[in-house]
Amino acid sequence: MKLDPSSLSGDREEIVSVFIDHIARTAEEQEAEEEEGRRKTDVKVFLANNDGFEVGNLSSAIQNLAETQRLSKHVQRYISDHNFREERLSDDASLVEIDTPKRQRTDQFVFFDDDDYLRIITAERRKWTKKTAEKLIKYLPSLERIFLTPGDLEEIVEDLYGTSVTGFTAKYHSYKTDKRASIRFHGGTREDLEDVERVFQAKPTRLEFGQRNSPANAVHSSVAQEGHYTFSSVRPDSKDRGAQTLNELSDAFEEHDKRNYDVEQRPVRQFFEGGTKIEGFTTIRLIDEDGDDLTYETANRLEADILDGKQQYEFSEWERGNYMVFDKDHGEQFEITVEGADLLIHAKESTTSSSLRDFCSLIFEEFDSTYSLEKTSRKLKA
Amino acid sequence: MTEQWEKQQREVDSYNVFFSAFKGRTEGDSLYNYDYRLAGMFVEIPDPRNDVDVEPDFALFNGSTLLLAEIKSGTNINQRDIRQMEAAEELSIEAAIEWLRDAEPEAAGYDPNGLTNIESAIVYYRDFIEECRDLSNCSEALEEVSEHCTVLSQKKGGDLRAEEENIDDSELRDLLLDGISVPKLVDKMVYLTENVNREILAYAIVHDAVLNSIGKDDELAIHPDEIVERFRHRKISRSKLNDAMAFLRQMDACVKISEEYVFRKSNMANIMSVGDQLEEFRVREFLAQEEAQEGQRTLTGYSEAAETDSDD
Repeated sequence: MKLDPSSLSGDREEIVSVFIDHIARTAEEQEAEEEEGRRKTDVKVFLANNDGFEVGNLSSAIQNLAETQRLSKHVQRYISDHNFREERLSDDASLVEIDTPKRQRTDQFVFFDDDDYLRIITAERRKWTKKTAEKLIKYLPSLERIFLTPGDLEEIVEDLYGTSVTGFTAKYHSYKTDKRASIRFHGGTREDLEDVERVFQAKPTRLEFGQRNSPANAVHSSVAQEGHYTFSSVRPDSKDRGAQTLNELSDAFEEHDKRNYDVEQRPVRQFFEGGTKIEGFTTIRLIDEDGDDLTYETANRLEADILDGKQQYEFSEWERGNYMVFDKDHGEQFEITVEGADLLIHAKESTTSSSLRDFCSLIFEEFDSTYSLEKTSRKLKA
Repeated sequence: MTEQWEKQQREVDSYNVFFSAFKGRTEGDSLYNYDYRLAGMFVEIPDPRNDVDVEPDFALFNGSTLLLAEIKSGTNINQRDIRQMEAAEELSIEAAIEWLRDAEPEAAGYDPNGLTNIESAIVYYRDFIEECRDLSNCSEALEEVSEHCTVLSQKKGGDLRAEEENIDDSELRDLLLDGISVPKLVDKMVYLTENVNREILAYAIVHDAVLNSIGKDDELAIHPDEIVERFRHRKISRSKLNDAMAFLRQMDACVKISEEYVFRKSNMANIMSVGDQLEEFRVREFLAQEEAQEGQRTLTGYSEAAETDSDD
């Protein structure tokens, strides 16, 4: 699929419809394509929390990144291996092209500004998005890729109209054991997922689903924990439904991300004539559903695997299981208390969603895949 | 671990355990769930007509009841405790309303004039209360203090609950008789001890003042006045502040450049190890040793007069 900027209006609906057109075809047409080995690419959407990146200013963002002191070799290589072009389509949309001259390739993306989030939509192959746009999200300090919990994925799919699970990837790993499982279930149903969750404690990291539009499935899509989703096909008579679902998915991803990580209240002190107040607090609890009382084992492993094991963090122990953690990448401090096998992450005065999201995604990916997440945010001052 | 550091941690924890029972968790009871909000911490409520000044650690307000809590972490009940609670008992509703006006609880939807009831409580650690009951002197003192207020006990990994109660508000009474469960480990809302010991001050400077402010910059320069300002809910003596800063310098957590102390990200490992060092060293002893060594070095070298701090 080749996008021509002169034929793209800035209108969001129109841009989305161009992408939906790309994957609109009947089941028969799709089968024929597969047989002939000319399968079309999926439409993909990547979502990132945006703390200061502006659509239309990509080149200055890259320039700033390149001028950062002590920039890692990876990032330097990324910048020198690619050319970046951005063409403004409207106030809140632009066409971004990332060249890889060595391979004589150009990958195309549309960037949408959505307040606190950046939405990137593309039909390039995943192999290439990983090397281009996904790296861009990773390396630009103002962008932080959305990261959802397994529970979020299940809720998002369930909340959409007329969906049924058609496949999934579920994973299990935990600091508690050496066992690891990664189960990819083609044609799996919700019942299969429940079985896998029950038997192996594996939680979904990717869910494929079909969406009904009378009478049969009209939209085939999948959502993944790492802030992206794909559309593989939309029935030609259901393009409106496809476009609607595409927007609904972006909204749902962003809502869940906010619900998980936004720091609505912070323990900021205020002074008045007769005393001091504390504004409020925000605590994320990563819940171990087994409810084991493993405070010290959990604390020891957390120290060894994450706090000590990762360059990004420096920490200080108040007592076993209670840590002040400084995230050097984000310049933010947060506090951890271990409770049973649960981890509680407490925002401090200047903690933002960036360091909390990053820490939680690390925990899900490298420490224990089975946690569920619950945030409490309260205003405390009278 | 030094005995003093243990004591300071115990005191800081005592405020935070109580705070945890107030702010609550996702599930379970808390004072927050009973609509109490923080009207103030480390407050001063003057009542000139009754000639008392009431200075509880926490003042929580739910629109009608003001709960004043004095938090103790020591292992005795002294005359000061009893005098404090006598004063709290004297506090008039009018004076409390007057004070509440400054606290501006309207932001939380509470009218200071709604105040009809003051409950005052003193909070001890449970292990102390249990010991105290077995000692005749102590249990007499406990009885004396409980004539003036409610006595609560708290335990990390246990609960906050009433030991001797004088609570008029039946809802609050039931809550505190049942107990509010608190976790074994509590996060820090309060960093300093009442006496602002040098060790805990060094800890608070690093974790509260510096690491919450350094952000994405490579370094943070901080003037001692800013520390005093930041911790103005506690009285900080300059000599203690100077000692705490000198200790942080010796630990290579910061460097002094003219009047300011500069904390650099490149020294983050040292900055974050201050907590570990405080388990091992008392600030003054450490500085005295350093001074002595410095003195020896200078004697063998240029025989410069070693600088001495004349404080305590």
